[in-house]
Amino acid sequence: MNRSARTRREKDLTPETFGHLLDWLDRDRDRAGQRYEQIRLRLIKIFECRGCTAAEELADETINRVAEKTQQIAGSYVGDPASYFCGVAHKVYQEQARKVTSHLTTLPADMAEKKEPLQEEAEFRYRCMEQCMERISIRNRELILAYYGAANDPQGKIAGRKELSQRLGIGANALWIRTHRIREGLKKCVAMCLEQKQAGHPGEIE
Amino acid sequence: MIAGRQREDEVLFRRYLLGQTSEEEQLAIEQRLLSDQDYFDHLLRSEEELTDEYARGEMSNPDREKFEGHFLSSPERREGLAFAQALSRYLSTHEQRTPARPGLFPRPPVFMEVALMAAVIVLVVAVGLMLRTNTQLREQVEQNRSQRAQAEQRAAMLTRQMEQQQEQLNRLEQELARLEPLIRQGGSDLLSLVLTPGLSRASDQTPTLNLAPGIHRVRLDLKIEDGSYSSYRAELQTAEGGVVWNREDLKTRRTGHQQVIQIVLPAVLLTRSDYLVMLTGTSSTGTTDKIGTYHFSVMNK
Repeated sequence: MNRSARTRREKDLTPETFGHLLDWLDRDRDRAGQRYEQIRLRLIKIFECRGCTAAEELADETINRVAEKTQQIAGSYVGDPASYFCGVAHKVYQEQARKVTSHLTTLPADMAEKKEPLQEEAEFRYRCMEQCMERISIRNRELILAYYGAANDPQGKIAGRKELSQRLGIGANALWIRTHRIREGLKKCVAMCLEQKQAGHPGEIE
Repeated sequence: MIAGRQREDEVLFRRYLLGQTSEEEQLAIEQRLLSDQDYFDHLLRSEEELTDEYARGEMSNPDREKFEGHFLSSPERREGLAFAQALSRYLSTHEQRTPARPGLFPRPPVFMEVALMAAVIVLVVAVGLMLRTNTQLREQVEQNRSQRAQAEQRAAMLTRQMEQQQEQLNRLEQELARLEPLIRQGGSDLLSLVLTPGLSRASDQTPTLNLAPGIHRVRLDLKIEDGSYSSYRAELQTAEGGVVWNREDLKTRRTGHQQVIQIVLPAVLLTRSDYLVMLTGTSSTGTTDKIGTYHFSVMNK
């Protein structure tokens, strides 16, 4: 279990309550920890998809409520605990929607006014992208170029990716997972690079 | 079948991500997202594709509005869009429309064939070398085994020889121990004495026999001047004239340039006393002449 999960548990839940939750998820503590992280990550994505700005907080609120109920329901509940989380998440979302009337945000109204700074930031970001692309292996860079740079039309893209997966001898989903991981790594690299540029150390990525 | 269902999922995800699904659909999707890893991965892929589509400016106007109004509500997604725009720019700058540039991904078939053939040849050679080396090593092991067997046989033989020699040595030592008293007396149980005729018993030069324990026989060499007699007779007498022993038909012997009559007596006949030997010679005609008298003494009996 990672540090953030532990910190959150200590903050919001008693160790006993959190322990009951883990036991309910899986008798094996390691597997229960993995399942916990998996559910949390998916809850965040669900709240994000519902247009919530504070997706992470709502996910933690959902987990806390489930954990508090665990002792009562663990003995009688039948089926995948994930379904229970889903129901609680829906309730949390409805409560949140009632509290915040404008929970669905639009693009910032001042976005157009911030065009100049945004353009400057985009330029910085692009330079970071170039640097980060140089830092990954040639093979990974070629894969990114081949996968995301395929034809723009949907049919051409599908055909191109199919051919690529055949050449590499892996399935379409495995190919996406591989490229997605490289992309996530690039995203982190670019974010770090931007932070350093903003801190006044342009051109250096650690 | 699977592709068709995936396509349906993609359409549903697109509506879900743009906030266009009903509450019922939403709940069904979310329940499955929480329990199905592949389904969750598929959503992430759709999310990524939607972002890229917007970043490349390929999205239709109605979808653009929904995207901006609903999808971009979280800061993480806005950050994701900025990244997608930078990536899109990079891709257009480093254009690669074909699925793979030659060189990094699958190689040209001719090169593949050549490489494959080379690999097969290397493999065959390597296997051949391994077999040869294996045979050589096996032969060497056999040779070493044979040499070791021979060495073990030689060692066993030498051990047997050593044991035999040891046994022989033990026997010799026992024999030596038995003979030691005799060796100390002169190497045998026989004590010899050379006597010259004419010397009286009163003389300081009277020969003496020292009869130590272990001496069983006494040999007396009686020197003679004239060895022309066909036979001789010797008679041993005590100083008082008692005859102790006699022997006839004796013959001369030559020791060096001397002629002697050699007689051997049992030591038990002698006691500590003075003795004399009377020697007479018999010619071929039968006449007998006195040759000489020989004196000696016996000690330590």
